[in-house]
Amino acid sequence: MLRRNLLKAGVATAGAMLVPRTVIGAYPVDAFLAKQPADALREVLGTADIAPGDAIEIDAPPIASDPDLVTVRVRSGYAGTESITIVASGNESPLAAHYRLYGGQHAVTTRLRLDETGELLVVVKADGQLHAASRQLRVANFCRA
Amino acid sequence: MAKTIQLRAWAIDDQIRIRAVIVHPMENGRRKIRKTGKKIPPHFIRELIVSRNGRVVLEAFWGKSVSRNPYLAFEVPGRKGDRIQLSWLDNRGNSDSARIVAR
Repeated sequence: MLRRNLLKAGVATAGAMLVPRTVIGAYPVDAFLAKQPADALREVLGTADIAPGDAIEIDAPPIASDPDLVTVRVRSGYAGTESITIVASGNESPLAAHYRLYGGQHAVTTRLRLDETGELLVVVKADGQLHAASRQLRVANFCRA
Repeated sequence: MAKTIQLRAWAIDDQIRIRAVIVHPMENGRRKIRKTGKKIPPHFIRELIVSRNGRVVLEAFWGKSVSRNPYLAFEVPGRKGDRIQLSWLDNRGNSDSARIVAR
């Protein structure tokens, strides 16, 4: 009973404190509309001139057998990681995802849809510094309509 | 919009592993209806927020290159009993949110 009450109280206070904040209000429209990876990076990070960093791990299948569901895990080895940006260069809208991290995380996993074979670009911002890494992702070319 | 979010969170050592699948078509605006040749208009999640104990730990901006029924997983420092909340908003103004307690 006690537990139930506690749970109820917890949910109630949570509900009162945080009205589901769905609107961040800073959706980078132009970055997602950009057709070129460099333009997208410029829009979202302010620059496309980013030095490669060797502390970024990209975990993705070398050949995507189902290009509509490509699981990509990005791990940043940099302390103070603030954001992770994932760009699928071969796609019509290359910018796939931009994550802002506040809780001390270093990794995110997402599933992407790939239009065609291309480079997967990852940019990590850590302590104000940008680091880039890339991986070639191949799309199996059977049954592509 | 109800029950679009499958949210899991469990503690491992001093981290909470959070895993979410959202049921959403994530139409990129390029697919066509085969019979009519008409394009299906874009319909995708643009923003997603995850908070832990009322504090935002992750904000995501998504575009049209994220897969259908998108998946998100990450780990955040925390412990068993932490309250995890996730909410999303798509380009048509639909939204949903879910909250759970980390196991």
